[in-house]
Amino acid sequence: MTPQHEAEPLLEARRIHLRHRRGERDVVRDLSIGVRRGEVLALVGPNGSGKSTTLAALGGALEPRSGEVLLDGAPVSALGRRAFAQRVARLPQAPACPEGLTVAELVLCGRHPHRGSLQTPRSEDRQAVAAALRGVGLAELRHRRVETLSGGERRRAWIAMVLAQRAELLLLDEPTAALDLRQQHEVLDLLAEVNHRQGTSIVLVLHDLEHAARIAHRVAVLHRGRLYQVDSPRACIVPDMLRDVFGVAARIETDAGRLCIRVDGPADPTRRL
Amino acid sequence: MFGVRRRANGVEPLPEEFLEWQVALRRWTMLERDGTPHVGVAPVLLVRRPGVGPGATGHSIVCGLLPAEDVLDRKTEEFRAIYEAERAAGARAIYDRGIAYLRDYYSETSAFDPTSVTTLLPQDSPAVVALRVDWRCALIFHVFNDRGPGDGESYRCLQLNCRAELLQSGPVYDNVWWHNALFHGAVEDHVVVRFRCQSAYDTLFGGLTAMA
Repeated sequence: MTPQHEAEPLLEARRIHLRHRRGERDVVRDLSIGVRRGEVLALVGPNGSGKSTTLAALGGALEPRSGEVLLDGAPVSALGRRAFAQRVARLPQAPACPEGLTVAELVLCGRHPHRGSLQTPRSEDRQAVAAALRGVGLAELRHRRVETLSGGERRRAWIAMVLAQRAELLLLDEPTAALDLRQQHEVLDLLAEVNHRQGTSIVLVLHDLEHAARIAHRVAVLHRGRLYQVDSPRACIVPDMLRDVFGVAARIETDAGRLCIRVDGPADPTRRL
Repeated sequence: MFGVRRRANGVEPLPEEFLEWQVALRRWTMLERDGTPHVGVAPVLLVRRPGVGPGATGHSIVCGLLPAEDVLDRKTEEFRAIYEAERAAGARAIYDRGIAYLRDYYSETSAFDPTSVTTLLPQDSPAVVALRVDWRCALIFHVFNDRGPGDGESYRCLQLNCRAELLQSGPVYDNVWWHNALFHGAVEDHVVVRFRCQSAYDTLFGGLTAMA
């Protein structure tokens, strides 16, 4: 961890309780978590543990029932949507795309917070779009309509849109979902590069713990709507956590410096956390 | 309840043998099982079915002991202090610190309320809905006096006939809520059920012996 990461959180949730609209139960309870400047923070946990809901709250898409979300110490709720979007970009799990948009037009949508509503794209907007398309390997498909793309290509187009937004913080919900093995690694490498070269902070929801260990400076483990632990990948991804949270007996091995999880089977008994 | 006549509102002490067993079982759980509950703290709660004359339904619950009245508030503050101190680190840290604390917590029966056990349930759970209609209920401890591996005693079955009090605030509510928070975090929309003992029977799986 670099000294840069030790600063105050860039974006922070303080004691938030979250409930889906029309929901009757809190799906996230008393959660405090912050992402530091220049940091990659991975949210991991089983299905239903509250990862995507937490990300939605951090991105201002879901208002906490109690508690607050702060950007640089100021309540997000007091910021305008445009001002917030100039600094924070969010990619949901399954974003909807209007029919008929080309890839380039979709990616250009990422520039919206930086443009006037009727303003034509400026050269810096075009440059941002071109760079984002190159980054995800879709430059040659820029004139294709989004609905004609494969699932993996479509995912990369959305990631390009978020990159074109050039925010200082990216919130990404399962950015490697629907991608094949090679594309997953390419996307992770791309995000690592964006973090490294531009100092962009990233919070991403991941299901693959080995991916989390590979890209994240810190891992936040969510379990039943609570923060189980937040720490470095090597401190978090241990057999006790895998037993408590994922209900599996597993061993952790290191291969060429990379963390590998060997699952032996279901854990029994598990602690009642 | 359920065929046994008793006073309508009277509260009786829990059988001493039961309270001693519960304290010993919980101490062993904390020392040897890292807090994983033993089935001995998970009785079946029998409640009357609302709107149905005869008949009852059973609900599996995990029950707790309540600190004695003179230390209740102090214990609540200690639970709360553990939770608040470790909250930022996450549930695992709260749990581990809570277990360390509870290793010394279950030592003397005199430190606990001699008349009741408690649980925390969602306010709209079927058991709570039934208890709102009729507070009469029974707790069945079907492995009564089992003390873990190596215990040579044959199983017994203890029935506590109880009056259920539903609490949504107050010192007892706070104590149970913060104790629960060490293991399950901050929950809302729950009620504390305080089971006040009215009579106790050692059913011996077929027999029926009133206990002191």
